[in-house]
Amino acid sequence: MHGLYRFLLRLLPERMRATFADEMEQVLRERLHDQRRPSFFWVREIGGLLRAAIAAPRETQAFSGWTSDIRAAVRAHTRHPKFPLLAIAMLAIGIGGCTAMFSMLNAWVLNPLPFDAPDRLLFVTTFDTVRGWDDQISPADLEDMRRDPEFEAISAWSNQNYNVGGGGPAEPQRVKGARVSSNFFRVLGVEAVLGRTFLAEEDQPGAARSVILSHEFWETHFLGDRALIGRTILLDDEPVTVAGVLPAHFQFTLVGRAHVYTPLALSIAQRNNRESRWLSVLARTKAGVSLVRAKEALSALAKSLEERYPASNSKIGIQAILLADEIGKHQGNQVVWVCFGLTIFVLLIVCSNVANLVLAKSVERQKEMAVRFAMGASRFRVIRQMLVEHLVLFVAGAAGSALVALYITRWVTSAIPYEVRQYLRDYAYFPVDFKALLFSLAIALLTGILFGLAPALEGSRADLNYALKEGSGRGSTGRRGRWIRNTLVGGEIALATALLVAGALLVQSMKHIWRSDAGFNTAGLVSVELSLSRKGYAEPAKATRAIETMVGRIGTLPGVTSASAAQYVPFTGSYGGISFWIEGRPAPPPNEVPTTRYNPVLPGYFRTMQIGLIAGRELSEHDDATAPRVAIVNDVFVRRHWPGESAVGKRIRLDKRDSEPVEIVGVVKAVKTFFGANDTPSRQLYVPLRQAASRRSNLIMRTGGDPTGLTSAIRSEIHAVDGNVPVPAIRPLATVIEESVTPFVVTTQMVGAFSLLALVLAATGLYAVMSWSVTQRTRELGIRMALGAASGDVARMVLRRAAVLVAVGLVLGLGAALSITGLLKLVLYEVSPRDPLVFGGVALTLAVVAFAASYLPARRAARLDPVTALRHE
Amino acid sequence: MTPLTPLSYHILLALADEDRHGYAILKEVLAQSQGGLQPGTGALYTSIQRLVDEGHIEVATRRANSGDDPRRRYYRLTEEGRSALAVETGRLTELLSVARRKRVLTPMRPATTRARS
Repeated sequence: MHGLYRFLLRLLPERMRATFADEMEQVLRERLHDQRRPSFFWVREIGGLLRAAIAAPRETQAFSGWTSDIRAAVRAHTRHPKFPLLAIAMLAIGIGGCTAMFSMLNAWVLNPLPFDAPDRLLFVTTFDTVRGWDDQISPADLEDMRRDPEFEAISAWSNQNYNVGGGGPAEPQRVKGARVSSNFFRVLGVEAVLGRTFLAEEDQPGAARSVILSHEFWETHFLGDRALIGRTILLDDEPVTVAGVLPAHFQFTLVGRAHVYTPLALSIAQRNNRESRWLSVLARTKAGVSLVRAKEALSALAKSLEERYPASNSKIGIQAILLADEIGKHQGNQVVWVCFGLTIFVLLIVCSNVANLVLAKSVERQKEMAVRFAMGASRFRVIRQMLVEHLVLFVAGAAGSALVALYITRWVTSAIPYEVRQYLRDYAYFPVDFKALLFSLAIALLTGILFGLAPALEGSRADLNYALKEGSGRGSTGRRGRWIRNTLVGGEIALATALLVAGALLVQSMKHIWRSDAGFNTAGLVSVELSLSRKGYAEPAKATRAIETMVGRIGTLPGVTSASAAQYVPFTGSYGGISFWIEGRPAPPPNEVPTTRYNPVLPGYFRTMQIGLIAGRELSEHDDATAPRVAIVNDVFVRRHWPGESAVGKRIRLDKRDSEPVEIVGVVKAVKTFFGANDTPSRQLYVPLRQAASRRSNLIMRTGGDPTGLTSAIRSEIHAVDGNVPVPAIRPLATVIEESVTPFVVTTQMVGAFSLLALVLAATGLYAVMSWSVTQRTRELGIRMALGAASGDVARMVLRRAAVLVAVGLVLGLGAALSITGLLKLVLYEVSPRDPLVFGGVALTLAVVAFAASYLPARRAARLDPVTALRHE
Repeated sequence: MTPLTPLSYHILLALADEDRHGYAILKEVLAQSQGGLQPGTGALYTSIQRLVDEGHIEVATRRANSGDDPRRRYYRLTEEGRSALAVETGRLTELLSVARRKRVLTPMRPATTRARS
């Protein structure tokens, strides 16, 4: 905003600007401090500045021509406010929308990551060439990678949640965090603002434990106490020393809003493990090493590891992408690009509409121009006047577009839920980019000047005598003007068609998402993630018993119809996986061992989630640690391994080939664990929690009505069993699912709004052109009617002309849509980018709207009174 | 002499007791008019420019308060400005007494001339 104000200050007379501009800016800044509603203040101030620019006293007469032109322009516009208001509104929306989208693109996608030389930071993963999935890196492979000469340093991290505090009167808090290798912050190029980052000796097994805190957490939880460095705090019930505090702006989106970092400190056994891949790896290449060379080096390393360690590494490749690209994948850069591309369409439509309006206006005024020339006005003077009239419109449009851009940017941020925002850069806040505003303004201005001045230039050349006699401005420019306007409207219809197709496809996929069946009933379901401390529950079985007690107590709460617990809950993030071997079948080669989704649950899980039982029985209280091991699988599992057979009674081995066999006792329906591309459920397997005890569990309960009223009761039941366990925010599963589809929702709303806007703009353009052409042809139509044409014929004639325009626009638009909707594939859900229903529906909608827009002018033509029409000038 | 615009009159009045910088003038105008006059920054400086042109005010060479920001520009009433202020105030007083005689001010609205420092 300050930039715009400073720019507008240039409109002041030179003398006043030289004396006061700096001072005015300073006063403005001071006043801004006292404002409760800054946006309101800005509108007033910018309006006031423009008024001052017109009213300001001027010493010489050199500029008085410009001033009087501006005054004349403002007067002319206020006398007939319909046209300028329409133009200003369209400019504001088109330029504002485009600016907002570019600001978003710039802040999240184009802006380099706020780390040291971010183009040398790579995110490294392994990929399984047989199963076709990506995986993280094992600690032993990491050690080998560190010896590679192409890299300056390689760091690793693993996301982890911690319980902070407790032990005193304060309740402990569950916070996000990560275990990181000691060089993690150095690789990113981030220094601690207080204390220090980790030392290499802290990254050793058995070293004294230390912790680094985020700036936000240090401020809110520890009240910004500078003496905290070197003191100990409780982390997962153990004392650790605070080593440092990170800068306030530090954000590593791949770990979310992380507040606590501890050293990785791998044990010797962990460090030598090559099988379990659980580290995320961040590498910094040496200066001058290209991405291609780094990738080649990693591939070569993968080859040599395959040869040396076939048991763990055969058919495992190593790949790397730029950290910025990895972050982009998570925050949905494609979505941002798609939205930006679509707003360019809107800007184009706005430009052609404004051009259309300006052109119509100028042609109408050719008589006025001719009179002026006849009176001896110079060509320069007349053109300048027209130019100033357009400039006034565009300045007003620019002021409006700044507000529109501001509003859209705020809306986007607020439309994204908090849980999602933590994975976005700057937590989804982004400023309006005024360079982008000026750029879009320049495009629109160029169109306006081009189309506004063309008739003026031509008019100034035209035969005055002819133009004056011709009267209503149907002179030499009539035909060419019509041609340009028809092309513009045809183009608008084409662009609007393409946008509408995109919008309709997205709305269609939104509908599919809402209707999508998760496989269980989400209404009234609430889940709470609990992590019981290692100290209080050395035996995991004890933790399971505590969880069962909690479930029992919560189940008796009024309003709770059913309660249970599971290690994983669909849609809440991670979901377990495990390898398995089917008894009685030959064992596959080590890297082709199948895996299944895996979830230890309490009896009653299926009843609470309302997952349908297909065959066999549910789990019961008797399936405990002493009983034979049992499992339940989903229908996908059965179809895959025992097609046409019953799976009940079959035996499999989990995790290891020689583990205790597990008997399948039931078959349930498959559930989705997320919504999005490839969300068709795969194999799922459930085991009793009592036979796979864990300290980390989710309580699940189904409530009769609104679950939010029960949160404090649930919290106190949990604390009645264990007063030390932190209880995170209790959230309805339906909300969690809604948040998981936010990218779809936000894109759909934005594109939907833009495509409706495009439809309205195209209809306005068509209406303007048709009614202009009726006015132009009034006399001709009058003659036709006088010669016996029925009013129906006249209306048909007008409609036929519109139909040609619409048909051409539609064909071009549908063609364009066919070639670009492929780009939407990534944000579409269960809808083909070439869905014939969508294409047909859009064509029909456009045809109907276009008919309505040209019907009014056609009716006017049909109702012409031939006598008046003949006299029409 | 043409009557002063309300804003110009308030600016002269603001400078009557001491030299002030732009923002201080603005705050004083708001206080004097009890919020009745809320000029934008553009309007304020248009008036200041006009008053400087007419010789009613000038940029002060001496700072009124040495504790203030030295980068600020202070404005001061000229002799001409002081007499213009007096003439305008006289005119307004006359108008006011005429209005009083004609009982324009109804008893429903007591005068709100609180003393301001």
